Amino acid sequence: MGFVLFMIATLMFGMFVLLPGDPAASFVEEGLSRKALERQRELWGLDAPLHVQYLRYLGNVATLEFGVSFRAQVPVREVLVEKFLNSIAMMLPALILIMVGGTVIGAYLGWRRGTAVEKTAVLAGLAVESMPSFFAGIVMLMLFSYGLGWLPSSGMGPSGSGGSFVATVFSSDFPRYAALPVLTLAVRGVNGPMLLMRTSMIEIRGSDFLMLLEAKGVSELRIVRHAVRNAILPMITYFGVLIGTLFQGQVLLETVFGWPGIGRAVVDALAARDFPVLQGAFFFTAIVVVGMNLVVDVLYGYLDPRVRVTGDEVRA
Amino acid sequence: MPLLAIERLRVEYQTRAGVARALDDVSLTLGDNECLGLVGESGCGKSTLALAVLRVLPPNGRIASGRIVLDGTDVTVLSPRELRRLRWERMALVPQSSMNALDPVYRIGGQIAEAIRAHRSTPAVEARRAAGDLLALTEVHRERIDHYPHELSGGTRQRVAIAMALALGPALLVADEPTTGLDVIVQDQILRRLRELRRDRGMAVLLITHDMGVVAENCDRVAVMYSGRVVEQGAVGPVFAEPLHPYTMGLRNAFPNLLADAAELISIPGSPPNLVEPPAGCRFADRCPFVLERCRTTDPPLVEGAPGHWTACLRWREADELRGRARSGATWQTA
Amino acid sequence: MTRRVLAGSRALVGDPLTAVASVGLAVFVLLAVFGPSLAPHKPFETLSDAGGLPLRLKAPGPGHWLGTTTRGHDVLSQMMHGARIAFIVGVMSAVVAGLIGAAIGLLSGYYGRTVDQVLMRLTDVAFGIPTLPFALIVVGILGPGVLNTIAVIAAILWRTQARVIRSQVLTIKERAYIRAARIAGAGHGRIMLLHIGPNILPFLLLYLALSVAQSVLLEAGLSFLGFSDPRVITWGGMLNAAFEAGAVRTAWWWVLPPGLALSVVVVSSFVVVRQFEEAVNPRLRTV
Repeated sequence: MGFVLFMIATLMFGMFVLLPGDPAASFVEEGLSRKALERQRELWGLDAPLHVQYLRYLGNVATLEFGVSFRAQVPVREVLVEKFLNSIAMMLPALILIMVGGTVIGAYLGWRRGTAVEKTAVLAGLAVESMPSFFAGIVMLMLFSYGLGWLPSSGMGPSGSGGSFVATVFSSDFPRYAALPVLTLAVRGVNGPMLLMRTSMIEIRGSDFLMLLEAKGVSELRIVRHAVRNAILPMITYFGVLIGTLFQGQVLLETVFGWPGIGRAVVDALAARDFPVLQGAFFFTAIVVVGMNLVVDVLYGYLDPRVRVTGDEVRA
Repeated sequence: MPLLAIERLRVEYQTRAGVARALDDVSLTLGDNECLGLVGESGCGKSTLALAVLRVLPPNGRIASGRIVLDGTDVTVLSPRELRRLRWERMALVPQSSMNALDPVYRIGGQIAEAIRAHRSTPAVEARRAAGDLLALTEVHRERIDHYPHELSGGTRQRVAIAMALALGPALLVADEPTTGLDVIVQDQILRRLRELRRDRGMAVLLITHDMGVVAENCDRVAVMYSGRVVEQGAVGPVFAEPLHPYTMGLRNAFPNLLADAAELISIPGSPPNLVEPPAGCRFADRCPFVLERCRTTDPPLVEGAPGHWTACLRWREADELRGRARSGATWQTA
Repeated sequence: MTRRVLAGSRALVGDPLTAVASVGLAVFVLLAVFGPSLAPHKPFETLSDAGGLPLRLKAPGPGHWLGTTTRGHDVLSQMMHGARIAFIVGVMSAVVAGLIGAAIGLLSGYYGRTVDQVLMRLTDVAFGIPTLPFALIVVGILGPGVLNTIAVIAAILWRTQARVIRSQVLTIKERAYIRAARIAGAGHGRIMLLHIGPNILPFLLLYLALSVAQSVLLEAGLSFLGFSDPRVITWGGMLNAAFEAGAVRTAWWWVLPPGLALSVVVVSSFVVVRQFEEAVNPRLRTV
């Protein structure tokens, strides 16, 4: 994990420090605040030789020090924490829906393989997953917000309320604002886990140990429990990857639903050429992606006694 | 009344190629405390028989006709609920490969206790103690109770499977290749223990194996299966000493140590026929060195060639002569 | 290999769903080739009524069968032009990513040891890169454009191919005839290209086909966020324009065609690829 993040930081150094020429010059052109510019100059040590710049850069990244936002004039870390929490407020409910829904529906479909319900569900899932997320979001808006007028179309709460994160998320308005983004995310995300769980169940279903359980005269419910417990193993890997994937794709739905999250921060920072925020947001996202892979490894080892000793097999 | 009576059992599998009849009119009986060996090549239907008795055939398999009567009850017509009650209480299974037959993510003690608690309202602590006792009974160290299947050797896993099968003291134990794949010493230990347990507990055992030697040492009677049918059955002594069916003669050659004098290992060339469209007449005809024209047209009935010794061969009266010729490797090469 | 592809083609016709999907893909390809010449209007041509006033945000009707945009552009014509970019970016990115991935997977699997270590760590890094943010930043810095888009998509998507191909090479490498070739003194390049190459080709094609859909989606996402060449019409760009203009509220005819077109292309390629996958890898058939 450390190595991967180190390489990504290096890649960022290449993208931000080398590509745009002299960043200081472009900042001046953009008419940025002198204070922020000075801070950035100091942070990057732009007058120093390249290798010194590089080492200093790595040091800063390692301590998650990205400087001050050009636009907001506050430390990048503060901006990011808020945006990150906002993204989580949308993703967490969706992820719970996806995990529970995907596992339960998938297990059911796998156990009841070959029925009309199963075939329909597989087709429907495929169709929904094939829609680009932003298009799915727009369709949801057209239906439930503009069409039926049930739900608000944008933001995390009524405009002008502008409270703290906690106040926003725990306000009584939040569920109505979060409903569409969360549902869009969940409906599109559930297909993968559902199919995987189904396949996994189908594979497990032919196992000798289930036959023996049946022979033991164990109730069907218990047999299903054994099957699910075994079939769920590949799901762990999948969820880690899924969290990473959803997180990377957050920018699209955050744009559609006017959600002030970290994905949106990337686009806004890019448009405003707010490089400190841009780097911070990118690296933050990378940490989530890479971190999830690690969590997956650890969790997998815990749930599957067979890999507990070595822990290497899940890497493949 | 025998403990188990299988009457004209037919089991069919739905396959891509069509319906394969894995068991075709198989009839067998097994008395209390008796050990019946079931031998034959792989694919002859002996494992299917085991699964059919417990009614745990895979989804594409079904009992097409016939009866399986255990303690006077026809198992084939029981409702799932009645069946569940009968399973493990009266009949238990030692599966073919305990590597795959034990749930890899549960501890073995829990899996044994689960069998007990599925049938009796035993408290968890007591079920666990019983599981420990059962492990000890099959010579597995009690401390292994919290191990996962993958942490055990193949032999130990097999002992665990036997311990699990004994959990409720069944009247009938169906053991499907219980020692296949284990080394000879472990195999002998496990079979010896199984013999002792059978004697102590008065269990009947249906022992399924491809190893004639295992049958000779463990069983009272033997049924030889070929291509979904019983081709010869009787007491172990007469069947092995004076087989009436050429297939049994051939099988015997493949286990030279069964014969006092023969040292030559002769295998039967060819392979069993397709079960989807089996040939007319005797199914062994294509591989039989003694085949006659009528063998290919007439289905040989099971006849009692000697008291209690049945065979499905049209030439059973000439068995003494054929047996002599079957000892020679040259005979089989011409087939 | 030929037999496998043939089996795949046969499977395509056999299953009704796959047949429909194949038709969907065929229409897409035809649109990409002929769409721009068949389209009734230029993508950025402003339609006017008889009095010379621009036809702004008109619902579908004669002369503009899928309606018009706020600027009076013909939605149907934009749709037909957009197919070409989607196709070019989808196929080119997938091909480039496939070649990079195949090369890395082949070298990594074949040479093993240090080469494998280095290349696989590199692949791990690629898997750690957040796809869409990375693409956004690169396009944001380099400037929008079809070539930049293709380059940045290919620069990310090769990672899956590399892992898949590597694991294939690892199994193929141990086969008897490969060993025989090595003992017979065949060079490394020869073994990789002539002996291993043909065996990984079906898998390469499979993943290549899968990444076409991924590339199309990525390109659409970039365009939707406004990171595409404004002079070139794309489906994602259409949705971006509709969304930015606030037309989502009213002009369903502007939103649905590009969105559905994207969905159909993606779902069709998933269906077709899965059918091919079963043909290439018969083990999947039971599932």
